[in-house]
Amino acid sequence: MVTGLIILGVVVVIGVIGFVLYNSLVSLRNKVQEGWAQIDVQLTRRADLIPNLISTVKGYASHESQVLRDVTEARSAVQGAGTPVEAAAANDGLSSALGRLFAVSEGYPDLKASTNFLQLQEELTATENKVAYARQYYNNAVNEMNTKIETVPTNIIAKFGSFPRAEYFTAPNETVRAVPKVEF
Amino acid sequence: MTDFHRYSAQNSRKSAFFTLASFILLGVLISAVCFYFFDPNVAAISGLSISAIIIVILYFNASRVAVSLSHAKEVDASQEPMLHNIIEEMTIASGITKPKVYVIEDAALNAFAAGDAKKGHVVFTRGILGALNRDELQGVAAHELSHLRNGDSKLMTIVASVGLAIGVIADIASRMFLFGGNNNNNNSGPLAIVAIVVAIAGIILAPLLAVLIQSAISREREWLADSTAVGMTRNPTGLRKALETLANPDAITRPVKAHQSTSHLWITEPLLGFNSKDSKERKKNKKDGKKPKPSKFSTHPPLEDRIQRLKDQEVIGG
Repeated sequence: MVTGLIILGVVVVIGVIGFVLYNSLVSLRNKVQEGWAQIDVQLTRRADLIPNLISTVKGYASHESQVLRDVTEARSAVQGAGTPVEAAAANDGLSSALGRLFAVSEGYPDLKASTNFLQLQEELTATENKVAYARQYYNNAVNEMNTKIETVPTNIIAKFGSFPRAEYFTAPNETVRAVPKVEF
Repeated sequence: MTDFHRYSAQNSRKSAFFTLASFILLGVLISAVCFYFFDPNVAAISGLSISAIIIVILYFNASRVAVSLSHAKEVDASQEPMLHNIIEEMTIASGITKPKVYVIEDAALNAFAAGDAKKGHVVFTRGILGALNRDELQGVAAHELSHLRNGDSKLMTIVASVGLAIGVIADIASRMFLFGGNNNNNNSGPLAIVAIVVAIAGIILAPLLAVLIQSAISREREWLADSTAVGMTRNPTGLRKALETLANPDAITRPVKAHQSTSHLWITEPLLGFNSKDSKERKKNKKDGKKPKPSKFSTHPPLEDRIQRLKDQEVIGG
């Protein structure tokens, strides 16, 4: 009788611990997904701003076709990226292409004075910053989840509950600690 | 980063201590008043429970008034696109709900936040929007949103109101002890004598302590907001340059309509501004190369110290 109760008690305690651990993994996975959604929104917004920027710049500096083509290509790379690593690399590519475009635009005073151009520049700066901040949140969430998936005791639950490791939003050739800052 | 975490933990502990101290102070004071009517045990219990009720009520009704007191007007994203963008960036970095954005049409350089992480309000003066560049404004916005995220605005409103309550109750209590008629409470033992001593000491010291606690919490919260802001932007330079602009002896930081009871909410102390003793002292200090003296009654740490701490973080690498 007493042994039966003890065994029942142990089973119940283990069961409760199991539920708690499983739920903690689920909430971490949701945090990672939420973080990714935030990055995705900003990447889309950024890509949507590009056609408008291209047409504005063309109006003042039509013969800078190489720079404009680079930006257009970088934009399609962002739109075609599938995994976080690909998206991060494509996003970095777009940032550097835009950097070159804004550097070139320094030579066109009329373009620089255009309200439309200034608005687009501000919006692009803002989306780039937002990607950078959303990335901090996302990468922290990924770090937290991956650690739980690999450490005892949550690793047992993760194995049975099919919780795969998440990918960082980091391009292969950069460090996680890169300072997210844009200066135009 | 390690520095930022250390400051945060330190400041949180101190603030918890100060809040508890406020609660006990208010409790002792109300107990002292109750002691006049009831025996010490009942007085102590009712004093502490009334104190708890007052703090809870203040918690749910705080900070709505602050924005209307400042005569700020809400602006949408089409009126102030850059300001809204900066706030949105910091919203993402801090993980709070986007606060409502207001502008005060005033040439003074200042900003403040009211509310909490779910329902926040951030207010900027026209002057500060014109005087700072994007990076600097981002630092200021990060500082204000840190207040919202850390629950400072709410805490400070409560602390200020508790301070006010303590002042009023101490006043009532002192009248009762000085001019009180029949004291129904005739039990005279060692406990009663202790209670009387505590009551009198409480009435004299409570209002003074309240002001000191209020200012001390506010200063701690300013440090915490500065360090949280750096954690959010990963860029101590922006906020440091913004504070340097505000520390300029010629900068007017006092909005015309700033209300004294909201002093702790602003990024720099609004009541010490142009032409005030503070400004003159700052000019004199700058000339002599002296460091300013921190006052126990000041709601903000000296700007010079805040700038220095941000510089230290720039060296560490934030």
